[in-house]
Amino acid sequence: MENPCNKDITELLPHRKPFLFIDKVVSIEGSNKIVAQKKINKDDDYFKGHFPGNPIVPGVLIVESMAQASGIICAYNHGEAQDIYFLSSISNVRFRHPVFPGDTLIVKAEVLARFGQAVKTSVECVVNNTVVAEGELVLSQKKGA
Amino acid sequence: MEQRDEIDLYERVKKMIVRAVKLKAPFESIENDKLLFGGGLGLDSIDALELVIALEKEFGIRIPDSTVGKRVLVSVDTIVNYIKENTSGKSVQ
Repeated sequence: MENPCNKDITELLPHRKPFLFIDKVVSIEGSNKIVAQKKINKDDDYFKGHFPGNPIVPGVLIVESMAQASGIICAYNHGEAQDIYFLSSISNVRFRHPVFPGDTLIVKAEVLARFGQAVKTSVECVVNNTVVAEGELVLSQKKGA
Repeated sequence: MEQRDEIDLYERVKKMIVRAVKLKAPFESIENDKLLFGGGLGLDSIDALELVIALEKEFGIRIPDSTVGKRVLVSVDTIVNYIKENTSGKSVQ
């Protein structure tokens, strides 16, 4: 499978706007580690409600960005680019610092183990060299068309 | 393997299962031959992955692929047998 760094994000993920939470792949290490990036748009609609006058990126969307980065590395690791990976389990997630409009998320994911259709990843999000969130996810593979 | 060691191994495996899949039942309630998946304990594919990880962490034993996994992750009995097969001549730490 071609190096994801050279590809447009829409070739790597089935997600589309407004639910695409990775902009690009920054680097791949070996076949099981990825660093990706997501710039938080100040105009994103959800800031109107989360929270009025005090915009903060919802933690669930940070988890989603970590899941999407995991999905890319899971597909690359397994060499099946067309496969889709669904988020199946979230564990030990900690949100250590708030993320604000205009921040750039550096999203890291590492494949820890794979068994059958299930893949476990260790994930971390960093803003300005500070870890803002971390945890472990399990994604389930669904064969692509 | 001495009988006492075997009892200890069964207990360790049951405790490992409870921890790995966050089972809401005491380890003593798991029968040695009870099926782990389907109509037995009702574990699923995510639990299988957690058991594979736990076996490697707890006993240093790898399950190389899902074919072996389907043979090993059947019951406590089959897990214990796999551990014994893969640690024969070595002490189970």
